[in-house]
Amino acid sequence: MTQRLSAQAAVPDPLRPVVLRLLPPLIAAVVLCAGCSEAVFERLGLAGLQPLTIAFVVHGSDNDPVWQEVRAGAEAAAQAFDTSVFWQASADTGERVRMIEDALEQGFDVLVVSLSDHLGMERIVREAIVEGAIVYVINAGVQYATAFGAHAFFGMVEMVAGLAAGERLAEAGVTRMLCVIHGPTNEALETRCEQAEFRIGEMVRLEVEPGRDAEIEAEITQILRDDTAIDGVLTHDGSVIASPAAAALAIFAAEGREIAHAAFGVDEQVLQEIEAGRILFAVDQQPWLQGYLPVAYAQVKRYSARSRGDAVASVLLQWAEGGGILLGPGFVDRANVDQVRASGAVAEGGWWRGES
Amino acid sequence: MNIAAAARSIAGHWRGLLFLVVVALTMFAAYLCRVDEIVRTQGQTAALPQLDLRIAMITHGGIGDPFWDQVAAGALAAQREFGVELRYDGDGDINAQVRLVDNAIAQGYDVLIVSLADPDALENSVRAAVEAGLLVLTINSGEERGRAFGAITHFGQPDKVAGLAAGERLAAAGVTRMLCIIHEDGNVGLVHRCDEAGLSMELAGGQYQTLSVTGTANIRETTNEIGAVLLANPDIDGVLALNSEIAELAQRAIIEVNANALLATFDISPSVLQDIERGAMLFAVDQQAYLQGFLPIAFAYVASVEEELETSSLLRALKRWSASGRLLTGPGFVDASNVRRYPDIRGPEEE
Repeated sequence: MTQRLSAQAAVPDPLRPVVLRLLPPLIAAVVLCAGCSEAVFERLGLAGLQPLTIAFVVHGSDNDPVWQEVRAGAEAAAQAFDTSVFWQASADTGERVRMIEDALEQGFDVLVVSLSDHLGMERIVREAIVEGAIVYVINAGVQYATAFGAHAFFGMVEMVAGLAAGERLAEAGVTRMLCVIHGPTNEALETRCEQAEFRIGEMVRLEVEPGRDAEIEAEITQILRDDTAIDGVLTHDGSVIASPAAAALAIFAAEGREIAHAAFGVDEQVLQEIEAGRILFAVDQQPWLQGYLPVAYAQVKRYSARSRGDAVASVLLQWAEGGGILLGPGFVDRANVDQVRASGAVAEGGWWRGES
Repeated sequence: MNIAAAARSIAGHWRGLLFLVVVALTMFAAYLCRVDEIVRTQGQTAALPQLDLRIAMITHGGIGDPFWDQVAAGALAAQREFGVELRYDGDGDINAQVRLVDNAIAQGYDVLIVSLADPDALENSVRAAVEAGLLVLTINSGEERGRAFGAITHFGQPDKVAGLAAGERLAAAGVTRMLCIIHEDGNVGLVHRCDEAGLSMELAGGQYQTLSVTGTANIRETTNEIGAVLLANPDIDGVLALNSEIAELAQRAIIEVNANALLATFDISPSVLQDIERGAMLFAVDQQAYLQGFLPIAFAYVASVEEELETSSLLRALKRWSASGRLLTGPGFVDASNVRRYPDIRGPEEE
C-alpha cells in the first residue's frame, strides 16, 4: 500500500496536493481495516484504536516464580488488547522511584506499581497522578491505593490475608507460630505475620535470605529444636521459602512432631507439597491476574463507551469501580488443589466433571 | 490544445479516480467493521461455543427485594450472554428454598447456584446435589459451610473482610467511638461485620459498641432505639449501619437527637447514593449484587466448556480466577469521590 502511494507521488506537480489531501483518509481506511481484522482476536473490537502504553514498575525479582506469573499475565493481556507493556523491576525503593520518574518523562499513559514500601513510594505516586498518569496498584500496598489517589488496585489486602491465614492455622490447632520473613523492606510480610499472630496468640519471627535453601532449612530446623512449643510455620513467596521450610518440617514429622505449615504464594512446587500433605494450605493472591487485569481494565475503561456493549467487559468495569478488585486471599488445600492445577492450563475444560 | 489544459484534465481524472478508490476503500473498511459489529452484538454467543447447560439459581431473597432484583438482573444478563438455560427462583422462606433445591436436583439440572443464609437447613439438599453430580456454587452467604458441603466456588463479599475495611475507613475519617447497629438477631454475618469493624477501630486506638435494634419491621421503634443510644453517649462520633434501610433510620435518628456523628453503611440503594452525594453519608460498602448474579453463571459456563475460549481473554482469565475457591465481589466503596459515576454502572440493563 505504501509503495503504491510513493509511486503516485511521482506524478506531475498539480497532483501532489491532491495526493496529500487524500492521504489521511486513505491511511485512516487502512488502519480501520487492520483494526477490524484484529477485532476477531479480541471480540471487544478495541484493537486498532490508539494503543495505550503501560509501564509496570514493581519490587519483585524476575527470578521469583510469583512475579514471573504476574509478568506472564501482563504480557497475555498486552497481546489480547493490543497494548504495549514495558516491564521494570527493582527491590530498591529509590531505584523504583527513579524508574517511575523516567516513565512519566517518557509519557506513559498508565503506571502499574507495587507499594512494598508505601512511605517511600507515596510522593512519586501522588506526583504521577497530578501529572495525569493513570496509576494502578498491584500486589503490595493495595490498601494505600485509595488514600494516595490511585485509580484502582488489583490484589490482596495483606491485613485481611494475615488474619485469615492465622484463623485457619488456629483452627488447625496452632498456638505458637514461626513466621519466616525474608528480603529487604517488605511491609506486606510484617503485616501478614502480625495479623496472623492476632488470631493465633504467639509468634516467633525468623529472618532468612532467599535463595540459600540449605541455610534456610538449617535455620528453621535450629529454631524448631530450640523452641519446642512451636506448632505452626508461616512462609511467604511461594516455594522460594516454602520448599526449604517443608524440608525442615519433614525431619520433625519423621520424629513424630506435627507442625502445620501454611504458605503464601502458589506455584507448582507448592501444589506438589500440598498434594503430598506437607503443606496444609497456601494463600493464593492470583499473581497472573495481577498482571492481566490492570492492562485489560485500562483498555476497557478507556474505551468504555464501546466496551459497555460487552457483558463481560461491563462486569469488569463495574467490579473495579468501588476502588479496585480484590484477588485474594484465596485458599488452596487438598480439597481444591486439582482444580487449581487444571485451571492454570486454560485449554483443559470441564475439570469439575472430571476424575476427582 | 494547450498542454496546461490537458494536464488539468488528466489531473481531474486522476483526482476523481483516486477519490473513488479512497471512498471505495473506506466503505469496504466500514463494511468489514459493520460485519464485525453485527457478529459482536448479535452473536456474541455465536462466537462462544454453545453448551447445553441447565442452571438453577436458588436464593433466599424474595421477589421484589431490590438487592435480589439486582442479582436476578445479573443472572439474566449472563444467561443471554452465554446462551445457557437458567431458572431463577428466590424465596425468603427456608422450607420453600429447600424444596426448590430438591426440585432442581430431581429435574436434572447441571448446575446449582445457591445462597446459604441458613446452611443447616440446606445441608442435606446441597450435599445431595453434589452427590448427584451437579456443579454447586454458592453466592452471597454461606461460603465456608458451602465449601464443606462440596461447593466449588463462592461469589460474594466476606463479612469479616468488609467489616475490617469499613472500620479502617471510619477510623481514617477521624471516628474514635463507633456505634455498630445489628438489625437481625442470630445473623452471624452481621456480628462478624461489627466485630471486625470494631477490631479496626481498636487497632487505630478507638472504641466501639454494638446495638441490637428491632429492625425494619418497626421503623419508628428502631429509630428511637438508635436515637436513645446516641443521646446517652454523646461521645459516639461514628455510626455504622449494616443495610441501606437501617442507614436511613440511623440518619433520621442522628438528625432527631442532633448528634454529631458520621454515618456509613453496608449496601447501596438510590437514597444511600443520594445521601453520599449531598455529603450526609460518608461511604457505603458495596458487595455488587449484580455481579453475584452474573459471575457464577459465567463461571459455570467457562468451567464446563471443553474448547479453548479463543474469543475472549477475559473469559479465560475468569476461568483461572475461580479455581482457588472464591471470587470476592466486595467490599467496594462508594464515597464522595466516585458516587457521581457510580449509578450509571449499576448494570448494563439500565443503559
